[in-house]
Amino acid sequence: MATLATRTIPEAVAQRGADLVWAALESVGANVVFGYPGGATLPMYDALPDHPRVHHVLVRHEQGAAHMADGYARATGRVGVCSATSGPGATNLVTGLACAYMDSVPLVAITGQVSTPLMGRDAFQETDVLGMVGPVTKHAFLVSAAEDIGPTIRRAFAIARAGRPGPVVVDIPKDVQLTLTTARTADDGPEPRAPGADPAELDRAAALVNGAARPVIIAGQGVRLARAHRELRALAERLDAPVVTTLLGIGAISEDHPLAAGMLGMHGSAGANRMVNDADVVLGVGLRFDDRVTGKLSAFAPKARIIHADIDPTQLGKNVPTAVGIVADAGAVLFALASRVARTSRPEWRGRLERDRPRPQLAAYEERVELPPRLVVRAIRETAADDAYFVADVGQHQMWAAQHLRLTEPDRFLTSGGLGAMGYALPAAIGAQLGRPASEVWAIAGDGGAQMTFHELGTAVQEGTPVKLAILNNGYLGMVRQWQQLFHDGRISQTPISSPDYVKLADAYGVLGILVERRRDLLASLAKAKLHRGPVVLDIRIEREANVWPIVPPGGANADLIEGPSA
Amino acid sequence: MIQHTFELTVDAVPGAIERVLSVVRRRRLGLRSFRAESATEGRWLVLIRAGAVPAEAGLALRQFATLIDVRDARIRDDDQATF
Repeated sequence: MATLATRTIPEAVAQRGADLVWAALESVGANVVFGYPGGATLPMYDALPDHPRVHHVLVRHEQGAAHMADGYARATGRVGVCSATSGPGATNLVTGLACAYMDSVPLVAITGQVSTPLMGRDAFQETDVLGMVGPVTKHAFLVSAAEDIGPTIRRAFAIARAGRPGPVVVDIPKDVQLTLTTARTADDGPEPRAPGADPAELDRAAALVNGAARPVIIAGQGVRLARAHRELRALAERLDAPVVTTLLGIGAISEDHPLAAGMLGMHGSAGANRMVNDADVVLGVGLRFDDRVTGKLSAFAPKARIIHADIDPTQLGKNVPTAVGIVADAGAVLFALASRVARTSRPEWRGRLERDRPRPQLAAYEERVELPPRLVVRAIRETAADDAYFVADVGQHQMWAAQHLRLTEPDRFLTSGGLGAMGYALPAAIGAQLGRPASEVWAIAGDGGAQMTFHELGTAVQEGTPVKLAILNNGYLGMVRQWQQLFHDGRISQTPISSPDYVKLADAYGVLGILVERRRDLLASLAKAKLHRGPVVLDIRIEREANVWPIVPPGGANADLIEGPSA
Repeated sequence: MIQHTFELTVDAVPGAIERVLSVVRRRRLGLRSFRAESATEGRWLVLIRAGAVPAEAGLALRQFATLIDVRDARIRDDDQATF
């Protein structure tokens, strides 16, 4: 790589590649970057003070950077940006990239790379980033010339947003960052438009739906990404059809809507699973039909013909056979179908939804324990603002949150759905809070996941983000313990886990910590956390061996769902 | 299992071949041969002979086609293969 000398290019117009990185980010309106500097990004960080429009958030670990960018993107609908150095910086990003990839989150990661002459020499902190991130990104670029930096970053943003969103990596060798060039970022023209639905397929789908007696709509993440809540509700009301959601589809329809039937799948409600099991037409919009949704594939929706609409053509027919496949943005499909289907009333079918709705009262055994998880989740919901964001980690608490938060505002539930990355909640909540500074953001984690990324509390302190971290602490890696209990003959192996004193740990970070051990203290403690102006850590000692119910046994059909211990 | 030939026109950029191979691996195509040769300026012509059940071959074709570097993707039955 030849470095252009300043004597051949007037200094007034020449810029380092490192400056072009930030200039490109500014040009696309990316004004928050979550990152951690290192040797291969030294030129970038040297240039950063000259770009005051970019707010850089110094994380404590690069995994946190990726999850923060993810939370920022999910909460704002914008592209999240993270940055890491070469080698371990880039490898630490990978979990967060995979999480964003699985959950269709638009994200751009900028990684430093060792200088071009050192690449392939097993240089200090060298990893083959392109080789490493391929399967967990939508695309990855290696930039070989400084003049390509601007166009590449702009293209990365366009790719991250277009179609099914996802993460894109831009790997920039250090010598390219140091190269002086007169190149400027240029407009790349309009972004590609989302594909329009095929009218013939829409007509076929409408005919199927019009002929259905028991239609069900399954709303996935795609409905949320398309911000198509109104279109979904309009179609559901026109068809008088229940709407079930995937885990990531929660919030696509208000959970107090009469046609909202709850979450489907392994820990979905009995009612939602039964309705899909008995449906004669299933309209799946913006979902992958993954195994946690379908259960045993051959027994999924056995009486139904399936219409599958997704913006990603590779999803159609991948997991479930479809009668009609539509490649288009979820909003466009829902809107177009609403004008093609007949307004219908199905009181009997809707009545079944009412009969199968989960009962809100605590079970008798829950009344005997101090802090049953369901009670805690509901108390968090009651305490938080109506439009608060909830970021769930991964495990039992995630399912309790999904089942019992009962969200009425769209797009308020953030979680690592596809990858199931423990440690997601706190950093993603920090990202969401930075994207939505005026909103309340609650992270709900278990004691296992909380310990994976607790250090990001330091980021929250440094940034002054007042996230509330509620740790549902049961002293176990609870979901794994539950499976050991239910499906491995009760052999409890390596799932009891100790915790530090979270109140002291919070105090060490200069953060308010609250221990909750009694039911009578719960609401007051949550209220104290809500009113506190800074970050708060709540250590809530929930029932130790509570299980998540219902559950579809592994490999079982959704119809085989076990409703609870007494079922 | 039917033998197919996938014919792809791919940008000649770092990582492009790996991304194509990732689809071959994840779709579990029964790979018989893989050839990449320089085509027009800045492009590779990639020819993949592989066996797959028809549904997986169709899905593989769609996955090839959605790769950012892939400009054109086609599939043909193996009896028309030219290599």
